[in-house]
Amino acid sequence: MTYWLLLRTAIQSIRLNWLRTLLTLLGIVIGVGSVIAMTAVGQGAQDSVVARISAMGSNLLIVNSNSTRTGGVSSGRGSSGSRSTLLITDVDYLRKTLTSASALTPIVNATGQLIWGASNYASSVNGVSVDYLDVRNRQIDTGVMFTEAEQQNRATVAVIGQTVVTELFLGEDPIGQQIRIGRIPFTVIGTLKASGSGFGGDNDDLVLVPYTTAQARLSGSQYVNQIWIKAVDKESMTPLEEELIQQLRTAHRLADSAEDDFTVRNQADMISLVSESTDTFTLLLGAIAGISLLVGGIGIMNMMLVAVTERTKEIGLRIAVGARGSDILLQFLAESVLICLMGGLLGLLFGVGGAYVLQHFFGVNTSLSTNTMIISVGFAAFVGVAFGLYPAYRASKLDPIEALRYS
Amino acid sequence: MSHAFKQADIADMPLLRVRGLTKMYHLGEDFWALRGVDIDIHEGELVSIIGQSGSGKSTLLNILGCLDRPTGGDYWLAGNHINKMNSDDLAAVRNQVLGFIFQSFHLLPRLTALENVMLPLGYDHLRKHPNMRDAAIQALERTGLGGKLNNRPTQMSGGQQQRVAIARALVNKPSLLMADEPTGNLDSNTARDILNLFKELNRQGTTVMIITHDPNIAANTNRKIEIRDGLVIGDTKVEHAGVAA
Repeated sequence: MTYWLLLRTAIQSIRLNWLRTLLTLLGIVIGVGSVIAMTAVGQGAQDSVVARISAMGSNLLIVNSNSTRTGGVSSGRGSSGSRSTLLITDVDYLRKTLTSASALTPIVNATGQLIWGASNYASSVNGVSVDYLDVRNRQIDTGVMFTEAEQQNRATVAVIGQTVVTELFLGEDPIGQQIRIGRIPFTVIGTLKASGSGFGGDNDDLVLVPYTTAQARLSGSQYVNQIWIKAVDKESMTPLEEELIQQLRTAHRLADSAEDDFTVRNQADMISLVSESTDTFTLLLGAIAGISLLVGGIGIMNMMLVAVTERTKEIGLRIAVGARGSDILLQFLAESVLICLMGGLLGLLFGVGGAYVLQHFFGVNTSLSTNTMIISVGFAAFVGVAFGLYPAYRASKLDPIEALRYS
Repeated sequence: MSHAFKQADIADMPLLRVRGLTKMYHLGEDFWALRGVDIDIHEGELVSIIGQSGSGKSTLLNILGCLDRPTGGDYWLAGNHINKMNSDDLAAVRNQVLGFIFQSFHLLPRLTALENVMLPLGYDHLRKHPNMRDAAIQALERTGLGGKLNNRPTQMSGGQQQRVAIARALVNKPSLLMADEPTGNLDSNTARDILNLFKELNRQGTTVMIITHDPNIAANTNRKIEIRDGLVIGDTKVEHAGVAA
């Protein structure tokens, strides 16, 4: 039997039972559709997290002052595990010694209530160096960044994020305005361009002041919370990380046997870590959807078994006029594969449509992958073969004499 | 004789020959439905095989029709040693050497007359049929249904349906037409028409074998083979009073 005849015969019998076929097909449609939509959601989640990490800047190393803990036992300097270990002298030392660092900034955390006239707002106040903008890939929107001189003079100047502009100044021009952070008055000299919501919260809800000012007037200590270091390029990140650890150990005078009293996070590692966990998430979503595809396959098998029974007489007649067992097998297999392929293609439409709806009406970030589409439609066809095989085999093994007598 | 099978090995081998054909069923105890049947049918004959129900004629038909295998004995059809063939070859014999006609027509209800007739052509693995439609139309014209090509079985009378079935049996130009009680579901007038069609096809050169329990139908053929209890008990030439040979 030619492929064209096989296809035509399959279409004929599908048309004869179109409602039943449609209902059975629904399982495959939902299966394929959800595989495509779910993996699009998973991939979208990954993309946006990676984008957020990348938005922190590029080629970053982040040194945390928090001591490492192993098995709940503090291994930091001193008896208290939460004590800061990074000093401003470390920053100066690193700035002098690191060869492949292109920019570097300390971060001194100082939370404080912001007050302007009658309004007040709590934001995170960061004491940073002038290099902050370079390290974090941020731009000034209006006004200016503080200068090296202002940094040295511990000037009480502040650059504020867009959230602060909205919340504290209620949309009025903040440049030149006098605000108070806690009890200390600061002059707003600039605003940052919005960067949106990022890793670990709103990137625009912050106030930047010179780290010198932050230490002297706000935190009142010589410690810094973090040091952010930007490598010159991607390739130099690993050597820079090694160099950084070595220099910092020297600065801290750690014995060879002592553990690091700081932790270094590598932006590339963070991305791969997040990618790994969202990959697992995507796989999980895909697997759940894949199960529904299998369930759809069982529906197909059920329908094909019914079809074989219904068409026993027809099978007998076809054998009597010269059909081989393989002809009958192929006929039923073609039918189940065709049904599954139709379901797969419909599912593709629904999956892509579903991802579109999620993206545009529910604000879920989705990312469609051509691979997933090809694989899931291909898998639907495979389900057609796998679950159509047994009914088709049964049909091909019918005894024509019995089959012709069947009523 | 346009089938793709080799011709008789022996020059005088008839179209169909069975020797010592037996068939046993296990129905609690062994039951011999055929107990050694010998038959020769030559090309161009119009033969009837007649027997009451339980005589073994259905069993014989199934074996002669290559739908079932005998327990013992030999069967040659158009030079092929049938009981030595595998199932794909048997399918090819059914497709190209034989044409089946059933009591209850066995047309596929969702297909038109034309599509029903085209059915066997699709299963011909050995020959190409570039124009199946024309072959099917020709066969339908031979049975007098040239104007009903696109009717479905439900839109046709019993006689018309049987004509479609005969056209389906003819479409592959078989060596032997095998009809199992072909008039059993028809009224007597229609039955006579169908019998006349068989006679006409036979006059045109087709070998026809009709299996029946009805002596009146057997009387319309040229040779009558009688079966009882799994044995041939009579093989007689039918005399047609006043009909020229």
